[in-house]
Amino acid sequence: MKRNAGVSPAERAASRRGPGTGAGRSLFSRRDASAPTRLYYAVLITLAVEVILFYVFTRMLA
Amino acid sequence: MRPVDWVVLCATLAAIVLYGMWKGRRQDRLAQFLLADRQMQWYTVALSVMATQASAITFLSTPGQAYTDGMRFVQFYLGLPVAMVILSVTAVPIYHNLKVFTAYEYLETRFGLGMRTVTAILFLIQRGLGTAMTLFAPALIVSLVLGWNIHLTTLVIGVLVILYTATGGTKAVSWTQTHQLLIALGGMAIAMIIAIRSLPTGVGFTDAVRVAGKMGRMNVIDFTFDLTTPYNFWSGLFGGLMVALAYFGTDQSQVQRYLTGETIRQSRLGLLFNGLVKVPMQFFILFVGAMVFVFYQFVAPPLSFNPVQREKVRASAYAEEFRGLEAEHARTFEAKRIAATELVAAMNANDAAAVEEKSVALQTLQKSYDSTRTAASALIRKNDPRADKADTDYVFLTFVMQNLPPGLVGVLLAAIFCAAMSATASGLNSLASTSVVDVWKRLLLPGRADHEYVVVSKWMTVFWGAFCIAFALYANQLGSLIEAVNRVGSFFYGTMLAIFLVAFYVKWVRGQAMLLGAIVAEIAVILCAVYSNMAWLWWNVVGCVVGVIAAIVFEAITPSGATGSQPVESPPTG
Repeated sequence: MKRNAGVSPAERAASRRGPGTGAGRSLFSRRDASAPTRLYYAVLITLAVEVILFYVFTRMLA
Repeated sequence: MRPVDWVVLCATLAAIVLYGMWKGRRQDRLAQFLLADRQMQWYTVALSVMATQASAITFLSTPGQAYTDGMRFVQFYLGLPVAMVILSVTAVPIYHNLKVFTAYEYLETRFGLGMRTVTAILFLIQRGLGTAMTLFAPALIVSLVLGWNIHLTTLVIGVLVILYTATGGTKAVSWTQTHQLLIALGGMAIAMIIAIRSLPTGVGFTDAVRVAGKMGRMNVIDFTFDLTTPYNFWSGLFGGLMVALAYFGTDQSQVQRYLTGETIRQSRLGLLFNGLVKVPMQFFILFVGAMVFVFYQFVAPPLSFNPVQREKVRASAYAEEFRGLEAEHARTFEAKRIAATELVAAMNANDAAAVEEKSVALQTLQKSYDSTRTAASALIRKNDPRADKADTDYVFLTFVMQNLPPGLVGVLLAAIFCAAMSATASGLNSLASTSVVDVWKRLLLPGRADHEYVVVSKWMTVFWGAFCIAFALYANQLGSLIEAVNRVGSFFYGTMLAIFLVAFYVKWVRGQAMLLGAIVAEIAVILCAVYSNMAWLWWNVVGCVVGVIAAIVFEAITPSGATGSQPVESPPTG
């Protein structure tokens, strides 16, 4: 059986890169090369932006 | 309701039920029935997770909350995106790699059978009562506003849900939820458009938002640190994080949704999508409530939005007093309407001084208006001590019934029913899973053929459905006990989270120490609830922190080997 059967190209690429390499990989994916690290950051950054926008919204309309 | 509304409502509900039964046909393996064969893509997982959390109460009560209290409730959800990331990193790979059916199954590998059984039974009690409330609360509101028979409404929603959940299992639940959520959100969008379009000539969308802001309804973020206020940035971020971690990480009704993901990646993407969309979604629902509030600045609302209690007090010994309050309410409303119109005119003229002056006048009138409503509410409670303290749950549905055109009323009611059905369906589905996997298959009748367990799962779904209907029918008589039932979740979530956190990360802590830690955590939560003014979101933080620390301390002070079994290594992640 092919060794990487069932593994997506993205997961293979992440596996080749190895853990702890690339931007931000050390925080979320030390043991998990296939983790969607960029999406993790996207979620957290979106939350931060929402909070800032909500704050501006609150102050502007008060 | 007009005939066209009945047609829309009945057609939507029939379509959902038939679709669910068709999608979930021919299932004879347990993994198929309870986990949809782990074949779901991320978008189904995401919508299913969101629909499970968004019950009918979300769509009925949240706009009412914005009407009375503004939009600050959105802060409750600020911890959720962080929780989605944490769970994607931790719980998702653990559950997937172990191929568990329930979250509690994992605990056996870590703390032994006792802890698995205790947490599973706690879940069954908590979720059983919670699902009954998911069924009861919208049935009550809809029945009161529309004058329907509450027993019949409860029975109809309950039986429809049982039909497709018992026959189609998780696959039927997940697929119907995707459609149900879209219908519910579509209904809310329609309501918002109608609210804005119904504003008087000369009052546009921007004016409505600015009026809402001046009236304190756009108070989305509050950075004040105060342990006694329920919704501020800090309680939302930390308390909300704990609630979300516990709910999505340890509550089978949610865990089961992302266990259906085809791969770890699909499950993660589903949760992360929820993390991206949830806060804007809640903002949108609250915003609808704020727009309804502005609408009622120009169109007279009733003194109390609860029609049954309104009529009761009008026919009581307090009728004269209530009529006096209604006259006062009408006078204040008229003064408020004029002040709001003048405020909009000042805004459009860019006259900052006039805007300030009119804002203050409007706010003063609102205070007087609110005190009349408070007096009316007190009178209603005096007349009927079992009446709801507030009428916020009835605001949105009253607006829908009085202002939406024929056809669209049916769409909105279909949206509310869909939301009620989707949350109830996941509840029943998870109750059946836990009953079969953690109790029936593990403790009572192990080693039977897979298809036998499928049959048991179907009957368990029917059993829990019948339990929820029976409890919901009886709930009407329980009065203030309902509030206690609603708070049950807040009492256990912190402790449950502590158990799972220790299981995941503190590998040297064993079952007995964890059990003692959980008991101490529970005592701490009860003490906070009874003896302090601490807002309920913080109870979850207390339960979690105390539970983890106590378990570690108990393990540290217990002589080596005294607790029996050796600690079990956590399964690898990733």
